[in-house]
Amino acid sequence: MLFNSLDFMIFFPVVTLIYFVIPNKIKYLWLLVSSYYFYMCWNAKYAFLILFSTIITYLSGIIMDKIKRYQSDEKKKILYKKLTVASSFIINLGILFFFKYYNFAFGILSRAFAQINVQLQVPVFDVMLPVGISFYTFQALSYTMDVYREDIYAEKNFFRYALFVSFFPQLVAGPIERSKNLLKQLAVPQKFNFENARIGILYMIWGFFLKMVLADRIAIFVDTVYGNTAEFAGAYLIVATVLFAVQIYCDFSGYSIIAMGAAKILGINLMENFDAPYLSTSVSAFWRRWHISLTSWFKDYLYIPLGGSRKGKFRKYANKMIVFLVSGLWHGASISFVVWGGLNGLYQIIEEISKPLRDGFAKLININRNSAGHKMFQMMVTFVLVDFSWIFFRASGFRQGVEIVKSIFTVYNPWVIFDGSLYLCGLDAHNFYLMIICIGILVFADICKRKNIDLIKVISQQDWWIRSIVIAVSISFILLFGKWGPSFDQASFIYFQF
Amino acid sequence: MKRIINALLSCIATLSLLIAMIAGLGHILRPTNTDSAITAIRTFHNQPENSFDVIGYGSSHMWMGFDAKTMEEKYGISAYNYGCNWQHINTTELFIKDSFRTQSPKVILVELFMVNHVLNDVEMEGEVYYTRAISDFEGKREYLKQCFGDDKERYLAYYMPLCAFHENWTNLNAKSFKSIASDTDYNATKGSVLNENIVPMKIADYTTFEQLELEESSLKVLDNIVNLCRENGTEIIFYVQPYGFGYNYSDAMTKYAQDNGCVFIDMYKIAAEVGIDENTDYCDNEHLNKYGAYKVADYLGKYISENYNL
Repeated sequence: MLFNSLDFMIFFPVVTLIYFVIPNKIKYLWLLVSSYYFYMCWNAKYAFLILFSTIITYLSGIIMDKIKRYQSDEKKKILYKKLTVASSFIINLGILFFFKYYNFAFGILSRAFAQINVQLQVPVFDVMLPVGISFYTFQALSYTMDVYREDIYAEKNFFRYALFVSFFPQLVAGPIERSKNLLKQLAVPQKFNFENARIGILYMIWGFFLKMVLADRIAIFVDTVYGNTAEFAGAYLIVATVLFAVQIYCDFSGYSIIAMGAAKILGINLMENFDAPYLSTSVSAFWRRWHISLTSWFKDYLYIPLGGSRKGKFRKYANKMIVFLVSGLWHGASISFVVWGGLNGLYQIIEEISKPLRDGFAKLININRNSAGHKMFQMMVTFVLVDFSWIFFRASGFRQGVEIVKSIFTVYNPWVIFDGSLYLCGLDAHNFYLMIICIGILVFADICKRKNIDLIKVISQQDWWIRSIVIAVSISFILLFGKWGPSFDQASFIYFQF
Repeated sequence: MKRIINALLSCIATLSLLIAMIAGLGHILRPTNTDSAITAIRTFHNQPENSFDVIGYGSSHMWMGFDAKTMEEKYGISAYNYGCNWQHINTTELFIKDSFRTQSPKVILVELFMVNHVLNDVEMEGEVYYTRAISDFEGKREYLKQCFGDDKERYLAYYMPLCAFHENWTNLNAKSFKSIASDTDYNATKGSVLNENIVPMKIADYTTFEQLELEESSLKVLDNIVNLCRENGTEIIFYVQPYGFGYNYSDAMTKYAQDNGCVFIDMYKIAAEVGIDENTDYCDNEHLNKYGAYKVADYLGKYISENYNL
């Protein structure tokens, strides 16, 4: 069930209404049933996968809790706990590997063997990737890890824990919540709060704007150009790649914000997943602000266990590279995602190595690095670097990515930006201008965010009649200019495939 | 308590404003080419109950090609033209059912240009849109089911035009911002659209037409129409009006009419008898003008007065 579907427009109010009228004792059970129904709308059979993952991680928590209580030998205690956490990781990552990486990994292996004239017979499985498997697997594993580290107590109530893994607003595309934040909130039956509902609705409106008005409109242009790179070369690809950066941001942050809004209405606070990332002045800052829940997951559960920055510079860079290569792989079983992750890791390593040089050069030519102009320049450089890596993310494969890069640098046709040719790529002039205006609104909102101006709070503090007008006009704007309805093939969210 | 009242007021105000905006935008973004049809349907609904002995149904060939007023003026038969543009055969069935809610015609005329075209599994096009002017009843629910299946989104789009036509914001014109109206006074013309233009054309030679079978879905609709008329004691005259292109269902309809005890008149074969003149009676290659519409009504009026006891 997509957020931008009629089904969800019926599902969510019904779930919310019932949630607030039923007795407190069964509120979490109602949310659990609703969450499983939500997930089963895609593929009912795959609900067993979540259930299995839930049982494994739940049991690992319980076992570690028992070990902690009843094992007095400290060494054995650590050993048993490590064994438990390792088992949980192996089983969960094994499922993830089978569904997501099996064909990819054995494809690489058989090609490698073919190089030395050995034919490897590997059965190919034609399985559909379960929606959101990477998200809920990581969320469940973070719980195992938190219990192991004794950051939290093991949850005794299986159904409450099952709700933590499957909580529908963030089930299929995050944010990947931490048990410390979400489990605690799910343990408390929430009461209806008008303030929460108001803020939640405003969040949802903003999320729908990003998804339906911006991301789905831009997608038409990007899909047209990337779908025919032979015809749309050079400048077309530059424009499409710039727009894809906006599309993926709006698509993904749109989902996260709708999730936050839906959860807020239910009285649950989810973490912010994006913090105006394209206004970052360095790639490392970008990654602190983009998909925050995943980046922090990798930091806490991979980068730090690998040694982080504690074991010398070389290990630090190597660890960083590993994290970003794995992050690339997390996004998809394809070399192009690995290249995308690798590029972002590499940018940050170069950024760090070259910092003294850049500082020295700036001093030499007397540049104020805190000036607005310089920051703007840094933002643009960061955007160009990040956007360059998006080519490999969006391309259908590594080869197409390389072809696109070649086309960008070898085909000279800048006039197509000015002679109206762009309006032949799926969006007519009206829609193109509307898209530009909406990108302006997005930039304005992000600048406000960076300046710590919370627009949603500002609106929610206005008089009731102003709020009423803002909400009604905003919804009408989305209904008028959004991509939806029977003439439009409902677009899934990009991150669902991960 | 005051907070709760404020919150409720705020919700009511927001919802009211939103509904008003959705309705207003839906009106502005509607397909304005259906305004005439909607006005025609509304005008028909405003006619006094049981006031017509003969009602005509069908696509633009009926709408423009049958001057209902003539029948009354010349033969004293009160008639109304309830045709509409495009009208597929199942839309015709809907119109017949709709009219039977308030009228008890003795004879109905069904022009069969669209006999083998059943509207189903449609997107939100104009024809479906103008049926919004017909209020909800069992027959309409069946029709919508045929058109939309179980697609909830298309039902939503039907009842909330903003959903179906929000992409029209790039094609707005002055008409979009005005209320639904038509240049034709349907009360005066008894539902007919009478065009004064004269465009000489050549009626296609019926001896050269390839003859095809009717599809099952069309036969089913015809059966529904026949059964409905039988239940209401209404006679049916099926006919086809000649134009510049061929008609492939003359034999199939002749057989159907014989099998079901109704009348089928193929005016391609009797164009001279009807008096249709290629040089003066058409307004384009497909549609009769007011002179042609008069002749068709004259012929049918005479036929009805001679064959039925009205």
